Amino acid sequence: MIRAGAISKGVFLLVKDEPHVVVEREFVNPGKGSAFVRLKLKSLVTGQVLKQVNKSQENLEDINVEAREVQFLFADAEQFHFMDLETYEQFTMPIEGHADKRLFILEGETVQLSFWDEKPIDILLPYKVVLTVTEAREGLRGDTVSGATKPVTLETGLVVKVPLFIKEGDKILVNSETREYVERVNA
Amino acid sequence: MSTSDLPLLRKRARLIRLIRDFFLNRGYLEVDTALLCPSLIPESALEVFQTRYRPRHGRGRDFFLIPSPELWMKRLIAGGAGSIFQVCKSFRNSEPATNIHNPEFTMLEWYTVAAGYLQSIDIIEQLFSSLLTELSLEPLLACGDHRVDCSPPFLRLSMAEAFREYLQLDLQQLAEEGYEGLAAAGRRMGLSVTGEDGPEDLFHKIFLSEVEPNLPDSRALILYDYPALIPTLARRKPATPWAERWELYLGGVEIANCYSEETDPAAYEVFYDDQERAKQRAAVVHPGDRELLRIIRESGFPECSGVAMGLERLFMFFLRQDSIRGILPFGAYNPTGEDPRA
Repeated sequence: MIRAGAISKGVFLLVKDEPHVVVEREFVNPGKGSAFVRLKLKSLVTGQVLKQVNKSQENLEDINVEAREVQFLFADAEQFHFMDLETYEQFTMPIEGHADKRLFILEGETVQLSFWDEKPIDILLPYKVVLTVTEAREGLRGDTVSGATKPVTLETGLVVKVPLFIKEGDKILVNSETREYVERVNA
Repeated sequence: MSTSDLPLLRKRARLIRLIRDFFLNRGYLEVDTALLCPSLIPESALEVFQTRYRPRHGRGRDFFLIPSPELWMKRLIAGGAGSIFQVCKSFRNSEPATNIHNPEFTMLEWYTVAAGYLQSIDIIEQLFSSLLTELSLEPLLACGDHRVDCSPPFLRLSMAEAFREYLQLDLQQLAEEGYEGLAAAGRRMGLSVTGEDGPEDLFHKIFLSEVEPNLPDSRALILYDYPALIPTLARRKPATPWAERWELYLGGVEIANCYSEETDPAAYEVFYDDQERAKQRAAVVHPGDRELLRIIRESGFPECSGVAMGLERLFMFFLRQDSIRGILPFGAYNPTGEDPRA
């Protein structure tokens, strides 16, 4: 059990028999009321977002989640396919509820998976991810306004806004949470 | 705020001077009462700071920092001081670390005698008008990117109207049904309802999940007539389940709280007893100030309305800041981001 007031983003909770991850936490002290916490939870089964309000002192059911490094093999329409790096055993995790994660992982890469009850429940993305630009139009000549951006498509299909100097083939760092361009990382 | 924020500091000083002038020009007496108290009005929802007086000889005693100047100001009013105001530091322990909370902050509190909560709306509107005029500001104030039209009259919404609008719930009926009605409504909404929750907790859970996030935030909003089931020292609106209380919201942020002050000594006794019982569970337990009770019992308490306003939160909007951190000189604590109550 965990006190609602001690919960931070990324904590795993069991709510209505489904594992959820905390995606937002806000403290609220209504005038003349006790302390409350507003939580936004995402179901790791359906991807549905649930909002709830608890008193800071309330106990919620947290779950013990173990993180393991695995290799991401590929994704089909319904499942992610992974391989355990020690046993070489292959296993799957449903895409439902995690479709957006697909935009940040590459086939063959090592990724962190969260396991609960021996079942994979979530992909833990690094805060920043390096991806290659596969489609970019040329920056327009004369388009010199500072801070001007253009959309480009990355190898995973993710579309982000980038500065005009970014070209096809560039590798860029992207914030996996905000989906925003961070910097160019061409070596 | 650091020494590099001197322009903000100058504007802050100007705002505080204008506020003082506003009340002085209207005949209010400025008071500056003690911050260190041996006893306080018990409020179970607040955690307070405790410190200790240690004389060179003899026994020491515990003191507490005021969570608001209400106690002393009420003693002065009961003693016949008339309308009074104060700008002072107030202290709240266990405050979460957010852009609108700090354990120490600046409070403006004013009491108008022979007035009720509705007259206090006129006064706060006049205060805003006066500040806007003196500073030659357009009434469209902003906190970060959030713009709020602060031209009087402010938008007025009763709590019952808000519940009807955003939840299609009859709050009067819920308030009359008390715990059972609120618990049933909470469960229907899928909220967590525990055996520990009192009726006021259930009310707040419902309010915070579906009402407060939807309140109109593009105009200054007076949310009024709170359910009397929230224990406060606000007078009950006759023959209704409401307390004569309002809160001013700017852009979804609570800025000020107002009551028609309770005048019935018996209601004070009940409030003290209930709150002292609930307070036993707080981290810091302090004696309730029985002297205020004695004074009210013996000499009565005049009809008046009190307003408490967090000045850093107010100044956020007048100074276009998105946090109180830049406005409170040296007030940036280094909180962990965790709620220390947990």
